Amino acid sequence: MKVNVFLEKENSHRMIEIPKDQTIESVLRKLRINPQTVIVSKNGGVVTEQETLHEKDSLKILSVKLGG
Amino acid sequence: MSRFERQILILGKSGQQKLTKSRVAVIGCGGLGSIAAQYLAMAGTGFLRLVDYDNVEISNLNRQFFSVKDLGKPKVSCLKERLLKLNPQTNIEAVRKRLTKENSKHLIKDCDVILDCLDNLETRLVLSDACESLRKPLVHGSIHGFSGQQVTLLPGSSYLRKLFRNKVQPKEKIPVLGPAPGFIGSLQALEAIKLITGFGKPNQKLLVFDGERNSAEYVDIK
Repeated sequence: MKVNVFLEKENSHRMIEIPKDQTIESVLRKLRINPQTVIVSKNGGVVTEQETLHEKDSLKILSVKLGG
Repeated sequence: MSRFERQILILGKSGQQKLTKSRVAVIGCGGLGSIAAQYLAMAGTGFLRLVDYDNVEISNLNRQFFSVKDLGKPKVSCLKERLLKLNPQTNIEAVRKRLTKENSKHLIKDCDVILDCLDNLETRLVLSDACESLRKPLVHGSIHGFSGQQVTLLPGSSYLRKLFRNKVQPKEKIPVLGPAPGFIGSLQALEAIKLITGFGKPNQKLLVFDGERNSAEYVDIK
């Protein structure tokens, strides 16, 4: 199945092909992104990396910002 | 003519009175806090509590509103002095302390709005827990490089533990250009003014602003 992924760090959108019922963690692994360094939203809401994905889900992978 | 005449056009006299009676805690007085506190003082906020342990260092001066004369002095003292020049009517309490689990509730309990202008995850979570427990609105802001994020968390909503679950503080120094905290700190002041006066709508979705590539995203953290 395909999910649409927005990568804030690159300001780019990608369509990623993954097997059915995969988690966000597996997408991050595929993209070689450490889950501790990003906040992920699915279809507009912040979710955990254990969230399962479905066809046409839309992910935003946002870098954690902690500076002040 | 009043110094507030241009904002009274928006807020009315009653809104201005709410500001005069308001109490705001600015936790962290660096890039975000030094900006937010100035706008709040200029707007006529009645009481500002400034909390920070650090002294002014030379590397702060690309983004924090301190001067060369302030080097080596506590940030809270220098900021208090600056704010009193901007608006002598503001009552300012400078607290040269780190916010901890032990003192966090004491530092915010008598304030109406709390600004998270901190620079590290651990203390942000301590502050967020205290605000959630005392049901205080928390105006969060943070930055990295050209970018920043802002969200206003109200009692009953998810606070920062949900947003930063399992995240870690980077070991390396966080890069930053001055206008990034300038922008986010200004937004935090604006959010505080909206909460105090009841004007406008609080920004309850996380705004993620990328100043390098000119984009902005909103995500729901409920």
